[in-house]
Amino acid sequence: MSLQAAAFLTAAFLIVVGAAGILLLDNLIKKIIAFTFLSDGVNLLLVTVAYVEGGHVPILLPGMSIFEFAEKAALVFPAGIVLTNIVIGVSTTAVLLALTIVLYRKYGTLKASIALRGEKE
Amino acid sequence: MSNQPLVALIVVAPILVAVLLNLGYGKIRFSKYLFIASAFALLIIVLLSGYGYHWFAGHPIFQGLRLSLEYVFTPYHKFALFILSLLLIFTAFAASVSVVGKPGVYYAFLLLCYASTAMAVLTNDLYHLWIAVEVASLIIAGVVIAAGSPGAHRATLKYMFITGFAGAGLAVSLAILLGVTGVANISDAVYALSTMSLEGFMPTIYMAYAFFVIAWIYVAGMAPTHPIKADIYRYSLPHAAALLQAQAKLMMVAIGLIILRLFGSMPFTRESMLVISLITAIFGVVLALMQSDLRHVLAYIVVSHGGLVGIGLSIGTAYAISAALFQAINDIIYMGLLFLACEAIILLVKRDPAAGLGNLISKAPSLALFIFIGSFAASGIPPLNGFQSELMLINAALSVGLPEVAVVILFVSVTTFIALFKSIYEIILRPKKVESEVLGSIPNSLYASLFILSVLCIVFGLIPQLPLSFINPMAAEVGLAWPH
Repeated sequence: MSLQAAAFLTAAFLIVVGAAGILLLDNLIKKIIAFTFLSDGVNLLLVTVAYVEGGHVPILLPGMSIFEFAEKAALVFPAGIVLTNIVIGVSTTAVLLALTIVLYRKYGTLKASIALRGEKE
Repeated sequence: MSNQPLVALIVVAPILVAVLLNLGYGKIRFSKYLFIASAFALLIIVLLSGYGYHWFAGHPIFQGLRLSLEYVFTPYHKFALFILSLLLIFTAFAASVSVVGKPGVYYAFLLLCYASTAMAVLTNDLYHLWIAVEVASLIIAGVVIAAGSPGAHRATLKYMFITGFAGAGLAVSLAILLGVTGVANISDAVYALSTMSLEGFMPTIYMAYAFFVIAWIYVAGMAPTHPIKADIYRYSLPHAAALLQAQAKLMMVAIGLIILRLFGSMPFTRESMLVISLITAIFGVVLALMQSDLRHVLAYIVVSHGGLVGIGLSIGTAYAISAALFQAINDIIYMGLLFLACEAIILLVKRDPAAGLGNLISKAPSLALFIFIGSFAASGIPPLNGFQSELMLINAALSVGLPEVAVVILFVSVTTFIALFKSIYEIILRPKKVESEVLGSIPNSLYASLFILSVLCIVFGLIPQLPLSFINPMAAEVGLAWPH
């Protein structure tokens, strides 16, 4: 199995586990951990898309022809997306955790089935 | 064709002002005046911007490919952003009256809401689109949390979890399209998909389509996310709900048009979008019937009318897209009017606009008149704007041989009327033995906002050619034949 195929499979596994965790788990903290799995899976997928077998970093070095660069350089665009996704992921996780703390103080439980419905345990 | 720097300013300026508002959050007067002044400035920037492109990489088209990240500014974009800017001004005035304490950060969120919407509307690349969707979800969270109620916290947390799916889905879709076509510019991707051999790639392309549709469902609050999106509207402050519903409509149109351009000619894509839109339109309006608080009724009607816009986009002919865009603009206007009217009621009697209020017509007759105009427009009653766009949607459905879709549009229209007037009767008309006390007053700025939005409802109803002259060129460019 090539490195790229293995990375694709790992990304798919992380995405499926993350999505299933958000949908099926009842604990708010576990749901947030599942969310980070999902986000990391997407990042890995983007990095894998950008990967070029035997390629190099997308910097045009002195003496390198433009054709050689176009053939061998890894895609530069996904790296930008991954960076942005990391920032957005951190912000979203912070908001999710802050809201979980607020709801825990209000309802005294981390069970999503109770806290998100607004009932006292 | 030249580079249009002002177009980028439509997105960049509110972000810069938001930073300033954050820095001076404790200075109440500074925050208030800066927010209102920047809202007016944005309207002027939109009006002054010339039609064309803004290339972020700084270079024009290269060997037939656009390559760069870019914004496109056409008559439709100018018109849509003009309406959004107008609503931002009204929201700014309403927020400056009803938000107490140190409101700088809240104003910053409202400006960022505008910026993310403008970004989604203007963009012609996948990167900006994805950023707009992700950032918009965080901004919506901030705006709703500001309402401060436990319901607002619960609604936001639920919304943030579905953001995980939609944002990740759109990023996966972006990765697939990048992997298949190698380009991020949407025009380039459309060109690549239409010219290259896709043999063996079709399942992957359909997967990209599915993830795009998930993002579309999420931003519009389509079924099955409709209760969560409705909670966002009902638990936020009414002036914020007015802006958020405009954001949802414009972003769903932006993503819908991109889906049509990228995947519209593939089998079963538009049919599946049509089914989702029909379910949303019916579920939303039926749930609206079950509510008593006017804000809750409006929240579900916003979601349901998102389904109507979706129906037009899914049919996808030039005429249907015109109808969908017109419906989206009209929806923004009359729903903005009704949410701001809720704000006026709360300022007047210091309680929610729900059953038990009664006989408001004797206390504020002009406010009652504005609510009637908004409600008639939302119910598609002639000669108001909602009637014109819903008639166009019905004609679009009939012209492609889908009379059952036309029946659903009629059903939504009639049920909207019943749901709205059930609630309005309780609030405005029902006689009461013990009158509710008038505890506050409605500021003139809010009356002026309601008046302008009412005038727009009437003018666009009487002269539909006026908005359609901005919308039709865009619809003609994207429109496709319906697959028989």
